[in-house]
Amino acid sequence: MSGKRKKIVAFLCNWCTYTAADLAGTSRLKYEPDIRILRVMCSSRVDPVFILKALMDGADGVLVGGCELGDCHYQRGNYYARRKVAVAKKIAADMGLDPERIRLSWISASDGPRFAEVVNEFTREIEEKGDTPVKHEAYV
Amino acid sequence: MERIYEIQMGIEELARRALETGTVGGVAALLEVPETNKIAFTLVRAPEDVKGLAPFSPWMLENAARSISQMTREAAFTQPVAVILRPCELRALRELVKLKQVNMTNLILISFDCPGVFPIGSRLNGNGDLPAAYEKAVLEGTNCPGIRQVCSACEEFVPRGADMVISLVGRSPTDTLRAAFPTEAGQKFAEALGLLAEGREVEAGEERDRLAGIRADEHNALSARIQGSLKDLDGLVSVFDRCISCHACRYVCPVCYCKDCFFESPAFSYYPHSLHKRLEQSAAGLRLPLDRLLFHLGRLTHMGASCVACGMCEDVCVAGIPVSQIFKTVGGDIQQMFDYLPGGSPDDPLPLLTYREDELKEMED
Amino acid sequence: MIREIPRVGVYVCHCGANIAAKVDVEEVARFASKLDFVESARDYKFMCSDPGQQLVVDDIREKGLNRIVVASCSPRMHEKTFRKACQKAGLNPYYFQMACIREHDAWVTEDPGEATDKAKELVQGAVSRVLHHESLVPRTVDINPNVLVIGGGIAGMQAALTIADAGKTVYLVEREPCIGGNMAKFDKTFPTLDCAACILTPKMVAVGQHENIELLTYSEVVDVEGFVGNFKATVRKKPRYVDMDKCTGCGVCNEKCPAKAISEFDQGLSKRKAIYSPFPQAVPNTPVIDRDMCIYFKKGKCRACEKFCEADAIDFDQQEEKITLDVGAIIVATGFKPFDPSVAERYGYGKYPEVYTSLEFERVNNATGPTEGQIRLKDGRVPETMAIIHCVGSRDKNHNAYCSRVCCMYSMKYAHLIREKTGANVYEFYIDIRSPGKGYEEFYNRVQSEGVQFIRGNVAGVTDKAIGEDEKGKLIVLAEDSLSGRFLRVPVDAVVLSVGLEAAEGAEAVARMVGISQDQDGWFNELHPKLAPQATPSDGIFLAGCCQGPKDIPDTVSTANGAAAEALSLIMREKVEVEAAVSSIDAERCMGCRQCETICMFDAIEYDSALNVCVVNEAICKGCGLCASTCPNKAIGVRHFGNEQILSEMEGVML
Ligand SMILES: Cc1cc2nc3c(=O)[nH]c(=O)nc-3n(C[C@H](O)[C@H](O)[C@H](O)COP(=O)(O)OP(=O)(O)OC[C@H]3O[C@@H](n4cnc5c(N)ncnc54)[C@H](O)[C@@H]3O)c2cc1C
Ligand code: SF4
Ligand code: SF4
Ligand code: SF4
Ligand code: FES
Repeated sequence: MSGKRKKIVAFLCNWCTYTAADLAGTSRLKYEPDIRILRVMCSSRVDPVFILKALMDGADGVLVGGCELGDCHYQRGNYYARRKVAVAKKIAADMGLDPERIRLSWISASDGPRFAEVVNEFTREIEEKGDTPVKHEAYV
Repeated sequence: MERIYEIQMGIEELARRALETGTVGGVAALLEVPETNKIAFTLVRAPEDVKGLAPFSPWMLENAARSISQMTREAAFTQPVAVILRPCELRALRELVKLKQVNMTNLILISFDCPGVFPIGSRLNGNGDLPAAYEKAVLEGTNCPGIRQVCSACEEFVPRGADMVISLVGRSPTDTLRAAFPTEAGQKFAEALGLLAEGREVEAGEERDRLAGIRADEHNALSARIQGSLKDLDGLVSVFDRCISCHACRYVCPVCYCKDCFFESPAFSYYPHSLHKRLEQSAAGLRLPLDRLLFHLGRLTHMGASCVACGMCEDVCVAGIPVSQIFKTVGGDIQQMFDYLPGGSPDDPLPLLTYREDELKEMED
Repeated sequence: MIREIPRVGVYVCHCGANIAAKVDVEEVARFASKLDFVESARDYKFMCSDPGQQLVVDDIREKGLNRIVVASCSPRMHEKTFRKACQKAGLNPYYFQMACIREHDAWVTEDPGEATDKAKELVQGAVSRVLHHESLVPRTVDINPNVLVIGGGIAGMQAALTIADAGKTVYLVEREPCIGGNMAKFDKTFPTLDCAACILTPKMVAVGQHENIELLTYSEVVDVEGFVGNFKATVRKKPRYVDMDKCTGCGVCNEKCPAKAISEFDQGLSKRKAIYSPFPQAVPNTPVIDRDMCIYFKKGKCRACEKFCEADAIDFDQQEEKITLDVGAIIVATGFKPFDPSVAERYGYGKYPEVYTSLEFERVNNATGPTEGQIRLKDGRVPETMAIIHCVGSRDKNHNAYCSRVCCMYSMKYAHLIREKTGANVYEFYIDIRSPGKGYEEFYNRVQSEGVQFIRGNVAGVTDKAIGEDEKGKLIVLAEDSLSGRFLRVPVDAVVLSVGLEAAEGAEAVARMVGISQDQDGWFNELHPKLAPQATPSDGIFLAGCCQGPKDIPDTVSTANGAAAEALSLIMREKVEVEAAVSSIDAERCMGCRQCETICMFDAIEYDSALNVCVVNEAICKGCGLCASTCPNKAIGVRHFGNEQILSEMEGVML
């Protein structure tokens, strides 16, 4: 909408990071508004294709959030998720996209402040990078 | 040290004998009849049909793992079948076993150290005569000028896991055979045909090592070239802008085993309203079809870890995109990250089906 | 794929001022009304209120809406509320989507303009997504009414009795030769000091005789398959070499057996025979032959027990047996093991014979124990002074950081018993006294008044290196009195180490089998520490007693009854509804590659070899979606979190 804002898509697992985002809200923590949160049940639901598609559709950044390792509601989902994100990042890096536009964070349900911090940090990094070239190259 | 036997027969003779003695019920290999311009991967059942067997032909019509998959996916062969495959086909085959698309029961795997092949176009437009330069390169253990880029950069040209490994590099494709039988099944096969008794043990030549050295250098050069061409979005767009989205690359890819490709499913259709919205918002218009690049990126997420760099995708690409060189490079990086060799050890799980607790710290923040 | 023409209703909630103060809700509604397929869009003060919900209901009925989006708080808050409203109006509840513009927007965004923009995009995402929703119907499956209880300590026994009394069949599996667990080893129990045997024996007998309890001792669960309501457990029955049906429990075999072994039950303080019952009142009272110690098994000769057994119950040919049990719910009650103090060398355990663990001391105090209940030193003398050291292995960063909860209380129980039985001086070295519980503080006061000396301070070690004359031949406890700041050397005749509790041996294997997790200390995780303390994230699996963390007997029994109640409430339902948002496989697309089967963390996927496709067991699937992101051609998808749904939401929020 407002041109200066970046588009950051976040896939957050229901049990931890999404809950942390809720908590950041109930605690009235303020953070940058560029992020758009999508709920998935587990970080392992995030298909590397989603990440790459987001980038190709013009997202300036993609955040994947899950429970701390060992705390996944489904036991081990986030370990698999980490490999999936690694694949997306590697492909991005090798294919001329910027892998640093993809971020994987483990944020526990009780850590609202950490969520706000990660969002701010990531938004700042993306702002420093500027608009994704995809936007100007025409959506590809 | 592997034991190599010099066997006084050619490949046709070997196949004939295997069929005649009933050791196998069939032989599957590339068959070529230059006079009538026929060439196809063929399952031969009668001894008299082995004429024209050309597994060492410097052309690849398909990655034969696809055909073996088709034949064995639903039901295994009921009698032994010898299949003669290039190392990349063998690796694809072994990868497909992990993906449950190949049933290895009753397969006798014959392979050879592969000198590389020419782009398929040169065969389809020309005749099947073996170029003299090729013969010379095989003899000396060098890359023949004109073979495919991925072949000339292929370091996995010595087969793994074959029951019979024929030594080609350092020899002429028309010579009698030299072979090793590294597995138990291979030993049995050789015994049944009397190959060990007739054969004479010989030393391996140094040509293989020479070729390995050349290949390693070429591989580095290829990676650097590809990385250079894909260093940014501009590079990505320039490389793939010619893609006509025919998806032929995925149709010939041995490890793209799906009957319905995800990237052809409705999940990737953009609804008219969203298309229009996009157009309104886009500064520079829309590059169509919208998912042309995404297809390649997405396909990499599916099979990058399993790409055997057989070169088929590039061979069939009408747009002349160096697909295979790209997939070899990116796939190789993914494989390296997970310390995985597609078609390598059957005990290594597919990289995305497993994990280690203490890995990939650099991927998290 | 969109299968019918969607008619979307969008409702933007003010949430009083919570949202409206930041987000221009009218503007968002106006924006929404222009989106494709949106039939009506409005804003309202409190969407979750009855009139708010009624708005949705009425619009569905009157305007023929078939998709609903509510932009308000987090779906974790009110998704169920609005789904119900949809259902009330006859719309499948899964045709609903929520946009979180409160927690994720109004409350966290500084600038009203930006908050409004963000709200619009979130609404747009929700609208795009809801277009792709599918109607889902939760399925029901039958529940097997039997219950399996793993572990026959007081927790397992109590749970089994409660369920059996309700008329349901219980299988109680205990790996030791008899039930009773740790409590059976105690002499008295705090704070009431009733004799453990007096309260436990009747319970053990009740369990042994209950017509609805099938007791499987000397047995272990080795495999659990299935899902809530329909578990299949495989139990391995170890051979006892004594026929339970014939044995009368007369004990003559035990008398005649010439082979001796160390008594585990007496914590190594006495000997038992190769054929033995752990203790006289054991239930069942059929002995077992310890194969490793039996002379016949070792040398091929002896069979003394067989000779003397009048019931002809000895059976050297008995084999291990595997049986399978069909149950609807499982209660895990595997208890604890005491901390092993030999790893903390400073206490001198294993080095000085007069250093005892608490469990050893329970046996010393017990009338059926090695000293027949008399407190005696190894040389037979009556001790004149004794020390009890609290928190051994607990509240200690080098071992277990947690408090074991019962040690303070049982330590004071010992102080009382020592004073009562020997008149010896007792020193209690403690960090803090933790005595919360009915009658616990009173017990503390009582023990204090009995002349027990409480010394607050960390014990640095136990040594026999005497300095003064008065220390000769004694053990000296070295400690800092943290109240006075003085360093103390206290000479005593014997030391009791109040060791903490740790998760039982083999807890990991049990966790893996039934699909539950352990916390960093090895205790089983409950579904919610406060609100669902007996349930686990695995439906149909419940926890009782110390396996979830240290507890005293009253709490153990309460949790056992809690678990029993939950199990009963489940099996009495007869049918269970299983989550609709689970994965499903399109057999037309499936290539039978079985990657999903390999990767599923719950074994919810099976391979159908006849059709060469995989099939999801919807009752087991938890809907995590790992399989869906793994299957390349997307033959497998998760309902309600399908690719099209997620990707359209993504498109929506980005446009
Ligand atoms: C020294 C000491 C003194 C105590 N004194 C008191 C006291 O005076 N008063 C009081 O209120 N509390 C006291 N407690 C606490 C009390 O012991 C516990 O509250 C109680 O024993 C917990 O019972 P449980 O059934 O949960 O565990 P346990 O008693 O440990 O029983 C668990 C049972 O499960 C079995 N089991 C374990 N794993 C398996 C498996 N895989 N398969 C089959 N069976 C298995 C075990 O063999 C055991 O029989 C004391 C604790 C200690 C250590
Ligand atoms: S790209 Fe993926 S979905 Fe398509 S055929 Fe290849 S593996 Fe299957
Ligand atoms: S991607 Fe290309 S090179 Fe790689 S295995 Fe498939 S066809 Fe061969
Ligand atoms: S969604 Fe998760 S639990 Fe369900 S079948 Fe797939 S992997 Fe298993
Ligand atoms: S549920 Fe949070 S990462 Fe799996």
